[in-house]
Amino acid sequence: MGDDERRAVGPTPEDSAWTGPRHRSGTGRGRPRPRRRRPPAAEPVAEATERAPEASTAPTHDPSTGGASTVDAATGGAAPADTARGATASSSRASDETPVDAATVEAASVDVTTADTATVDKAPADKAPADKAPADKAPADKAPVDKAPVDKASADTATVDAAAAVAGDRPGETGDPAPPSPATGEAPGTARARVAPGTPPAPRKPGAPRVPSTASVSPAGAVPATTSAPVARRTRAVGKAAVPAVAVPTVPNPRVPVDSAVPAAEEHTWLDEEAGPVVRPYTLTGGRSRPFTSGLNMLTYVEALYAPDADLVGLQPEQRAILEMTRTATTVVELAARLDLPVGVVRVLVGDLIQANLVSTFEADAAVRAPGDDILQAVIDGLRAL
Amino acid sequence: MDSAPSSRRRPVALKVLIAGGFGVGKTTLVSSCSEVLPLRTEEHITTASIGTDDLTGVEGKTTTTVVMDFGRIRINDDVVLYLFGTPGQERFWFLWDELVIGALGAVVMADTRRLADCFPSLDYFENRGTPFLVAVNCFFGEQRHSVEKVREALDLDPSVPIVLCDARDRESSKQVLLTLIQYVRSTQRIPVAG
Repeated sequence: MGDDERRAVGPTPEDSAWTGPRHRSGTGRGRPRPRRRRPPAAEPVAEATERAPEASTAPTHDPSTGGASTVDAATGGAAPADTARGATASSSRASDETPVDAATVEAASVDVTTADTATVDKAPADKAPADKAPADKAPADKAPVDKAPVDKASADTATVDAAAAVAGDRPGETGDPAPPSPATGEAPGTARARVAPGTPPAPRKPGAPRVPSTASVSPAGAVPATTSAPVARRTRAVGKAAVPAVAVPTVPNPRVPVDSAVPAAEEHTWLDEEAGPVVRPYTLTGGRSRPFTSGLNMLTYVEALYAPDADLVGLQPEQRAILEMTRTATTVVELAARLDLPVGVVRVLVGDLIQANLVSTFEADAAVRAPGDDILQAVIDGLRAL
Repeated sequence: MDSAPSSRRRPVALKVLIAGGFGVGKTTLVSSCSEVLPLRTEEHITTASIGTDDLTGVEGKTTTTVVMDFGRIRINDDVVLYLFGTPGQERFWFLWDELVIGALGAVVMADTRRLADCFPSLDYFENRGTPFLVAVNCFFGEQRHSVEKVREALDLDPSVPIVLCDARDRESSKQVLLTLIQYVRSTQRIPVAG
């Protein structure tokens, strides 16, 4: 009987996925669960390892753009993961938009110029202005070349450009979190996007101020190409990250945002019984610690006044569970035990249900008067029969 | 309130409290004779918990959550016996105040190695007039003292039953509860006879 009941009721708290993880903090969290934020960060890392050679080759290709690459190497500490990501970005761009390749490569090369100049500007301030100038111009010149006669843009130049793109994306995106090119407007966006999924912070911060000027040099047509690809990527990444947070609050309940913390809690394996519930118990009641009605004893029976057409929209999952459990009269204390909620919280929740005319309550006979002899005899018999 | 007598019989919920010092076997007793559900309850923090519960930074916190044992024995379709393992720590005793109202009776568990641990429980139930018995938990089957010695040490009313038990053993635990119910029944009969 007890088992039946348990089985009958068991699923509700389990299924509802609210009560389980939140209050029974120890149950779901013991097993290692991948953090949701990891995947977006982990993938690029994997790619980073894959593309590491590519990234490493970048400097070797770079000499085409002049002393800038050496400056790159000098400023060196750029996060390899990010460079790889830049590589993936460029490669994906290339694969996605083969016809636009010229534009993207061009834009990448423009990036290179901006980035390189930025780094060059920063690092060897007075060393090679002469070198710098041709370096700036060279890609700029190259860009139109790529653009107009595609035939000229041989595979070699393409690779060089791609490598340049790698090199260019690296400082441009990782190094300048703030304002690399307000003029074009894409770089801050990309920078933010990179930061958002939790990329390792770039150790290097090339001086940004010069960049806008070089960015302004970049042909306007190239900008959308680069922006479009990172934007698409960014939204995807953001979408991934945002899904767990956004998934829950479809219920028009003001308290639901509190509940939406549950999936977030599931991510963290460090939360356990010791840490206590993620959601403090009385957040379920909106901070109320006193029920709407008085006289809800621990052993007060609650029984659902089941109305099939009842408006259950505004109810919390816990209250729905209570309605489910109280199809047969159940005591407050048992509701609390099965929901794994403090008795006081259940009192408040039940009080709301009473107010909504969804349940009725009555006192157990024993609470009103001393149990009769027949009942005691029944208990004795029952205990003996156990 | 519940005036209209429904055609269906009202269920009867009986409360039995299991009390005693820390680590005396309350949880074991409850779990050996019934299914145990973890029961969270909470009470307002009293001065008793000050110095024990660290409230630094949460001075606005006025309640604390306590987990207690909660067992259930379904006697039949109408009667359910609830067992509440009361918290052993003294600072949670205020929890008992609600529990003791309407309680059928109480089991005070005693460990003869630490007999003094159960003194406060005895005082509490004596003051409230709640019928109780003393169950001496014989750890590892050890019975160090005779029932008479224990009764003397506890300064118990002669009518209060003392039961030797092994809380791990289901039959033994059942016997404790049976004795309690029979004792309660006998105490109820006295005023009727008188």
